[in-house]
Amino acid sequence: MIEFQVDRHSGVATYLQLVNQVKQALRLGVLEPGDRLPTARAVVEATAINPNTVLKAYRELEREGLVEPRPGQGTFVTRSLSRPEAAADSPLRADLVDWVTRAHAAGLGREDVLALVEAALAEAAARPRGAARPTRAGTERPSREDTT
Amino acid sequence: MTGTLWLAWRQQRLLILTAALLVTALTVWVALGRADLIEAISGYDLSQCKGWNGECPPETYGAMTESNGGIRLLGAIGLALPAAIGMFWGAPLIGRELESGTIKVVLTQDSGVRSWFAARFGLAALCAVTVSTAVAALIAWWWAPISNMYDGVYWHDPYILNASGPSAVAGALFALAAGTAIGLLVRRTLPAMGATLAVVLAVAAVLTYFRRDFVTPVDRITPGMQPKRLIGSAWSAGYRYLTPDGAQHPLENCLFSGEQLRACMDGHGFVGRVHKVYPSSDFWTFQGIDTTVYLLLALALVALTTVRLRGRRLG
Amino acid sequence: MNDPTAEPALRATAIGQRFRGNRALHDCDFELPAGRIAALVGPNGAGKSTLFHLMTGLLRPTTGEMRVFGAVPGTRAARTRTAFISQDKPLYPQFTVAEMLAVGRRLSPRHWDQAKAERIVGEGGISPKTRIGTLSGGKRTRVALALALGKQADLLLLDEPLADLDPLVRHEVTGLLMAEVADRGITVVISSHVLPELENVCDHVLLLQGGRIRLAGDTQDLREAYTRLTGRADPDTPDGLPPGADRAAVVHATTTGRHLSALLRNAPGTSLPSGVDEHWITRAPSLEEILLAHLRSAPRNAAHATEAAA
Repeated sequence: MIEFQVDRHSGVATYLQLVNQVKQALRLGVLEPGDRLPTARAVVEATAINPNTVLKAYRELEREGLVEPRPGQGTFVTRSLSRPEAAADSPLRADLVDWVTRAHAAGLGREDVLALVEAALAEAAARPRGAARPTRAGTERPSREDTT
Repeated sequence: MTGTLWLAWRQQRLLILTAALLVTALTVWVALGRADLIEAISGYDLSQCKGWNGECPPETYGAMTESNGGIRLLGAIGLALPAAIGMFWGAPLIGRELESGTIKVVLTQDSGVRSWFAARFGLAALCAVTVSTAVAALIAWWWAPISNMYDGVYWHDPYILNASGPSAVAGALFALAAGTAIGLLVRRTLPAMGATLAVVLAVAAVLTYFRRDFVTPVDRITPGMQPKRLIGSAWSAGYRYLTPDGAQHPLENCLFSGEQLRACMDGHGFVGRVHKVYPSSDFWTFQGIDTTVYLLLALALVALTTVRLRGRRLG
Repeated sequence: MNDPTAEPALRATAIGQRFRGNRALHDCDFELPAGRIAALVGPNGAGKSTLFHLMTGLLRPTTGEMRVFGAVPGTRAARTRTAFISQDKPLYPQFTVAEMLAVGRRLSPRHWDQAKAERIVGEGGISPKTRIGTLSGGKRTRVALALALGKQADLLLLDEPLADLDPLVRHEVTGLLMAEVADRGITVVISSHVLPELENVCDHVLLLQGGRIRLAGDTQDLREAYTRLTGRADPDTPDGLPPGADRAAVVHATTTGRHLSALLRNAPGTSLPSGVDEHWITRAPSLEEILLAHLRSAPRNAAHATEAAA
């Protein structure tokens, strides 16, 4: 089960906060296909938000094909967002952990690391779509070789 | 209605209990007092002391007179009863609900204002009638063996005329209705209690003062200088002088006695004296006036309360 | 979601209210569809409590008419469908909690849910045998809420229910209310002079100021109907707004030095005010920004009217 947190001051629409929290849970494997989402009643009792906001969030998740309502039973997760590449034992993740360790060793703080990741993401997005994948794969491989 | 009646009972049960205790205590007191009185006067011929005949034997007088203090005290309690009912039962009946705002809780339930008011006023009225009837009856019961006796308590004393009989019950109902209406208008309990006391006392005073204007006294005419008839248990309404044409003239014309009076009467051409009195049977006439006035006022006040409640200025 | 032909939960038509010659409300027109959670907001003394008393039938309007699901407030038809908690949350201090609930059970037997009322009280850790007079403010609110929710009304009217509550209780009570809405799809009008505590709760808003309805409608529609404008004030116009901007659409604008900040009504059918181009930083305003802009642009006589309403 997932427990929602609503931040009134985040500036993000409340229903989007709920959607994002479900997606996050799906990515991290906290929620798996077949799991039931909490009822609107349970969510609003805990978060003190308008029930329609919860329903709107669930409709959005349904629209994205992540959950489905089953009449009389509740809303169930139909698809996972967790990808093998992001799992705890995946090589990509191990690489990233290594890289972060090196960054820390080089004296970069958390903020610096996040900024660097943001920048790298932006840089990758700016490259031509076709070229992005091989290039990234290309840059990844040597770095992995470096560390092993 | 059952719900509003339950609420009325729950809110008034302390008052009802207090009233029941009060009536019980008074009953015990009166029963004892009356038993003492009966014992004291047994063996005496009271008929000699009826009214104000002036020939009451001292021993007989002494046997009766012991109870007069108690009867007067009970009468005073009876006199205060309507005001107390108005202040402590009537004024908070709606006033406190308005003051505390709880009327907003009660009048937004399924049962409406009519049922709510009918239940709480009905219960209060029932209790007021019961208590005032009991006290009025106790007064009459204690007083009956020595009613209108020489130098005792007479029917026209306020202890009897105002505090016993149907008018006492009507007075209690009026006071309750007045307190209720004033509470609704003033919307605060304490000021409403003060205003209720003032209104109840004022009406009682006005009635006491003016009700004789509506009843014609009986003329007892004594020609010339003949001794006046003894008053008996009648209620004196003053003296007049009579001229041969049948006209009556104020007492102030000849404020003398003996020879001076004779001279004065001759000088004015007065041929007789008139003693205006209300016979004791007028007790019921006065009671009738008081009862009618109190009941009409009570009715008008309940109507006013109902209209105001339905006019909805309750927020 | 709601049947558009259904009676609105509330309909006020040209409502006016006078107290001893003082105008507390005037020309109030609004409609609240059933199933909405409406925030009734406005400064203290704006006439919020008066409006509630008109909705409950505790007060009759001097002019105009109020309808609750089509019925006159205060009549049996309206009363059985309405529950009200007034600002001071009046309860009988000498009653026990159980007796206070019995008032609801016995006076509103039609739909009364004793189990629910007892649960709401019990979840607050309140014993039914406790005297009302000994309860803290938060617990009193809980009892008042149990009384209102136990009635199972279709329209819940709550006058400043969250004032004087600590944040934890406030959250708890709001959660309780929202759970009731989720369960039964009821209509709620909840007033506050602090909007942010209702921003996540309401989907409809009524802004009352100086006895008048300044703004009424769906919160999403309202946010889409206005644009917040920020940027460098135009040196060529006295008010700093773009020369082509429709001045009639300006709700409120301030300039601080060269910086301009304004709230404008969008041109009909578009998502931008007329005469505003992409050189300006525009964004959808928050509900609070819209309400504050309207309150700040109060007409000069509003202060006077507010006093009369107090």
